[in-house]
Amino acid sequence: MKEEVLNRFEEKGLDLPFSVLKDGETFTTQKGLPLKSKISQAGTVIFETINAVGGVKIERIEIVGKKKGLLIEVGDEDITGAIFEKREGQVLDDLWNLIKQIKEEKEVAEKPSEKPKVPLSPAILEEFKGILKDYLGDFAERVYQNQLKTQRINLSQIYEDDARRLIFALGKAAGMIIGPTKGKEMTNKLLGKLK
Amino acid sequence: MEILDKIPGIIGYAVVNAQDGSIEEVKGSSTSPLGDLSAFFSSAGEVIGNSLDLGEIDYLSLCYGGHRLVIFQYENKYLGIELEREQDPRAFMEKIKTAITPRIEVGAKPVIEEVKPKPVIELPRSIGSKLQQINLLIGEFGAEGNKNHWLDILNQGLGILAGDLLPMVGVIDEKLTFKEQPPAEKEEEFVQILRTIIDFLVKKAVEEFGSSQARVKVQTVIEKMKQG
Repeated sequence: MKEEVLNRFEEKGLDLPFSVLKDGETFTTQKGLPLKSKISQAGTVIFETINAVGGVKIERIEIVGKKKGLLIEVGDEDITGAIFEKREGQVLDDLWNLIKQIKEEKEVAEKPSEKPKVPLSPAILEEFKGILKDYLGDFAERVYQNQLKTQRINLSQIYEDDARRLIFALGKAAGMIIGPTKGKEMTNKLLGKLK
Repeated sequence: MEILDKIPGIIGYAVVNAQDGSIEEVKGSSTSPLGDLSAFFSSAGEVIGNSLDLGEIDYLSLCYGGHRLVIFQYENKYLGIELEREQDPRAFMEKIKTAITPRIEVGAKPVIEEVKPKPVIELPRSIGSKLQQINLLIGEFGAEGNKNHWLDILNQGLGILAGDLLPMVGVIDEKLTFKEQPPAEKEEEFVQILRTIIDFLVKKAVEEFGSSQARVKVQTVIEKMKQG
């Protein structure tokens, strides 16, 4: 299935699309087969580097060389990307859009029986703000708005993953104002709202 | 690399030795580990570039949340520059390279091109006064030889509180400075942000000096501001 999706996107204009799972399993198009083991190694390097840094949720990686480039969307369990030949007038955003589509198609294909994710009630954000106000007082609103923007939270549909990411970012920021112990206490209270 | 402090749009940056991968400098208001990210990913980029025959690496760009880290080699260093995510990594890299490349004039010593804030930055009085207050507070709190510590606290505060203001300001010559003209429609918002930064600094001063000593220092700043 994965190869089928990748083949289709090769036809749409991606030079060499691929996908690498965390366990090293690698998928490419027919054209990419000679590079398969090197792509797999590159995937391992990416996963290990992300682990080594820790604490930063990296979503996209772009490595551009003089001859070719590499674009990667980073998922929780895999990476999806493409190697491209450099060309005059190339618009990388077009390639990024195709990679994003592959990722979405793969997710649908891999999880057909899973229930769609249900967004949390928007009211939960008001509860977060209440807890923030208790701990941060007048700093609460500014910290909250800043982290909404930094974490790119979509207010119209907030899912548990987003909420969790927001909570940890709020906790880290709060720790710089009220100290790490209180910051952690606040993080736990916020996490409690997800249960 | 102080020249990077003056370029609008830069939130923070790291300088990594390209030979041994050691982190030489991390500056700015980023809340992300720019040193580690730049060191680890510059090395990973080299390995991957060689393996996949990408050619000499022009740049790497990492996106996380609302930010983007652009990493590229300049002479024997890797520079990791944090920007807002919407920025074009290649264009920004070129801009920085132009700014830091020595110009060699005939018969003259190489000179590093100065990137100054736009010649005329006219801050509205409301913003200018808050900025002055912040700089006086840093001077007063850091009077006993620990100014750098207070500049670090200021950068921390900016990182978590400054929002849209962040790419426009930076610490230049130990002073918080606007690197570009703030848009008129943002004046009220920026004043509010600067006010919050002042509250943050005062809170930290109370923690460090105790409330009575902190109050004396804040009072000294108020007196200085009255004197103009």
